[in-house]
Amino acid sequence: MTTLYLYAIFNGLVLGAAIFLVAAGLTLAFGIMKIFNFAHGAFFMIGAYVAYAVAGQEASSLPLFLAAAFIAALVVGAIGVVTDLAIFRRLGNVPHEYTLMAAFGIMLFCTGAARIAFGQSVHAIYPPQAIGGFSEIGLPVSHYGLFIIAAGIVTFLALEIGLNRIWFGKLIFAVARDPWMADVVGLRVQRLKLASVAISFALAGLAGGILVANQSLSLDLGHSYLLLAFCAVIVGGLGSIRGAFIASVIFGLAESLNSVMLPTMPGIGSYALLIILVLIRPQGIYPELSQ
Amino acid sequence: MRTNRRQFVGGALSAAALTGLPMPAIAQGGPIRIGCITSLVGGYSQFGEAHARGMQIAADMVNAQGGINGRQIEIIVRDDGLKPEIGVATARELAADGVHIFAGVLSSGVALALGGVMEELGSVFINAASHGNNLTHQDFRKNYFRVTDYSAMRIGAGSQLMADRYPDALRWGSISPDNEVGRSVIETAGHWLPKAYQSTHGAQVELLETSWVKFGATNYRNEIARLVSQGIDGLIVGLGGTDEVTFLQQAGQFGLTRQVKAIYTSGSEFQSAAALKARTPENYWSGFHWYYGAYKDNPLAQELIKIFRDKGYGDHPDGFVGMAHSAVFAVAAALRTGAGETAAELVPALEGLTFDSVKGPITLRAEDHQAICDVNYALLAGASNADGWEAVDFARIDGTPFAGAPTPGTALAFN
Repeated sequence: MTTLYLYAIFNGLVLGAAIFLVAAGLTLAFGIMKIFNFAHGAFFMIGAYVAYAVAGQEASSLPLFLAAAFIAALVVGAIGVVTDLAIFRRLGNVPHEYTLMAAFGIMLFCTGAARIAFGQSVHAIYPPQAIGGFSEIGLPVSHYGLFIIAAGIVTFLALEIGLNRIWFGKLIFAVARDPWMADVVGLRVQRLKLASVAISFALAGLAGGILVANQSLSLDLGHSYLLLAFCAVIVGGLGSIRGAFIASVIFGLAESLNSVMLPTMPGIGSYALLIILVLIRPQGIYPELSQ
Repeated sequence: MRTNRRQFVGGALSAAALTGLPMPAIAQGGPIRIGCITSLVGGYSQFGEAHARGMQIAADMVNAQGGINGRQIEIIVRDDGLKPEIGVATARELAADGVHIFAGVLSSGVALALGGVMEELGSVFINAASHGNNLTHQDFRKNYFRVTDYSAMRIGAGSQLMADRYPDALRWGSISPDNEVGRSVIETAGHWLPKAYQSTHGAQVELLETSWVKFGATNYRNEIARLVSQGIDGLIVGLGGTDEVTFLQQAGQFGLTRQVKAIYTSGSEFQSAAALKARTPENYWSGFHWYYGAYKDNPLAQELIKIFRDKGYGDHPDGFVGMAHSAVFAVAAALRTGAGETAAELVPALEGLTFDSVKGPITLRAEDHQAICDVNYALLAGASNADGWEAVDFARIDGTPFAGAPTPGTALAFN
């Protein structure tokens, strides 16, 4: 029984890292654009399909698998730029509700476009051999699971350091918090916003490329992590990378331990936790960019 | 002002139209319209598309033979989004437009909701896929018919198949979604699997605690670890669609599928093998609404396969094509008895009806409107062909013994 609990904790960390990979772009988009991007899951799904198109069912090597994930990030980032210029920027001066509706429409459009481009078959994708096995150390530790955890930590550190310690990150913070003042002091607000949007969309594509081998690939993939990612963004504090990371780990562990502690009530743990955490701390763990 | 005869007839016709009086002579001259309600968006859309194709092929076949009493069949396809409320809204919209025959639907939840409003809409619903035991038992509705087998039949027949083929598999584990169909699957296996091994080999089967999972989960590793630790010989998979693919994908990575001697599923047809390709587990029996390879002796099946391939839909028509086709053939057979399109006439005509289908004769049981038909399984495996998989064996099992007694309005009881 102890082994099952330890294994559930390991799986919870894998799931937490996966949730964070999706939530990172979502919370960044909220911090900068001040919208809940419902289309984020669809862009995550497109990223996974792009990676599959590049690397196939089983990438022949780890570098190819990583290259496919970065190509997915570039492609989805580029789509994000087009989406921002064509839609979100035009809705910058109207109430947020219109932007939400636009995001919902983009999600439907992306799903339809993916269906036309990639078909509606379901695919099973496998990690490359280098990370495809597992080690038996009393419990089976998946190398791909360790890779996902590492990818989540690296992404978190890159964003945390990039946004808080590097000049470019500080400019993005400035634009996100007070675009008017940023404009007054001579920053190119629209260009910085566009770069931030590209990064947030690219994160969705990167998550799709990294997680493509974690579950089946289908047109429904976008929904699979999105709900938990939204939960992590809300509990973490809208717009906070650090909060999203902590909340993602909490929800990953809750979801995983739920299947061991309450096996006849799958999935209930996360939602119960969401209610409790929102009641206790409605402003979120780290309400940074939303301030 | 005097009214002439032309004005009088025009006024009378307008009044009749405005007051909604039936105008049988005009209505019966048009096509017989059947609403195909199914899921056309998302991960289950390939099954929904199969529904639409199967129904259209059936309509074309009936129309090519002169239609029904000279009238053509027209298929109107609508998406239900796999959601009950959308399915019901779609049915209401079509009913308001004069459509009173519906067919298709993948989800048991949508089927339950549609069955519930059919009487109010004066319509009939022919379900071509949903598997829940409840639909023809405790949640039975008068205007609901099911032309395919259901969990009790599918898993009952599958359990007997396992007993016949794998006499040494005596310790069984199971994984299933926490929903109506998932519970139907496990309940049925809990009854039939021990019974089948006892009657066939005099052996005792041990059924271990089921791993319940939520619908649409992405991570089954905890459940897989539990199943591995249970030391099972055989595995019952109640998942479906993308969930089944994800589970088998992860189970393969952790060696579970190599540990067990046999796996049988409620039915994702070709989908899991088509996704897993070379990594399709050994001894993986997939349940089918209709497995086309089992009906080489059926001319209707052969005609459907030919049309399907000629239209460029692929080489492997699945059971969703076959059962949607059967739904239209059931309606056509009922209408040929002289029944009208209204529920009042069509329901009695369908009750107890035996009609020819791609599965051979199917009887819609009069009491609970459940199809009594064959149950199909195919043993799928990875292959080095263009598909990446192949069917290496199949089973065509008479579903009658597993259908249970009709108990409309009462839950299915296993004795």
